Amino acid sequence: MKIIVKPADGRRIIVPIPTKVLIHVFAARKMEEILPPQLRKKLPRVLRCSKKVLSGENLIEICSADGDTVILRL
Amino acid sequence: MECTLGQKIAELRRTMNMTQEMLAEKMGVSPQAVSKWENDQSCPDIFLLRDLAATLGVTVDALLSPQKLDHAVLVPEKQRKTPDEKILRITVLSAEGDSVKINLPLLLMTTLVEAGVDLSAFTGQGKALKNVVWEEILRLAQTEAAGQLLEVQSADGDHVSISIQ
Repeated sequence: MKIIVKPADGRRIIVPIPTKVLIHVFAARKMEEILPPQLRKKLPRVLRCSKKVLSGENLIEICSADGDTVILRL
Repeated sequence: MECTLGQKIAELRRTMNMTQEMLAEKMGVSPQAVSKWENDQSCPDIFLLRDLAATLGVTVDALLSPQKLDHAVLVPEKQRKTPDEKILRITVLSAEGDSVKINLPLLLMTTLVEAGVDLSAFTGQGKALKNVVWEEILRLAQTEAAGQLLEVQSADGDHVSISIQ
């Protein structure tokens, strides 16, 4: 995953983070809290499909009114 | 909301599940020409407009109008994506000028709703999305329709649209 920050008045910053790191460090813990047990079995297939579908797409794009942009891209 | 001709061609092409190469082949032009149209570096020839609009499932008028397409289109059977390949796109434009675009795989959303997960954990607690019946949106998203499924304009100026691609 890439985190791209485009400030309105500065240079673009790109932070590449391996998706595995995110999953292990953050998502796994959060998912345990959010997801019911029956969903955890389906999760690997859902994540595999999601990764394929979202490949190269922006997951989230936030543009502030003052011109800053933050993009999360797989 | 307004958009350029290039943005509209790109959006409709993706909605119809076509690559730039596929559209180029249908129109008898090079993929580079399609890429230039979509990046607003050039415009399609006037003689191509009728065929282009028909290929993208809209009228010439709708294609040339600067207004964003505000309705779903029917995707031909051969070009339909499976529900596993579809993406739900949520766009929120706040009255203050901020914008948030979220792209979520339909399969992920459907699985979460089936499991009874509260989607506000993913979509935020915003007023405009609070009363959305996600089961209905996802049912619509699984049909052959593609494009904009829902548009909400709140009294305080926020704008939310949900589309499927």
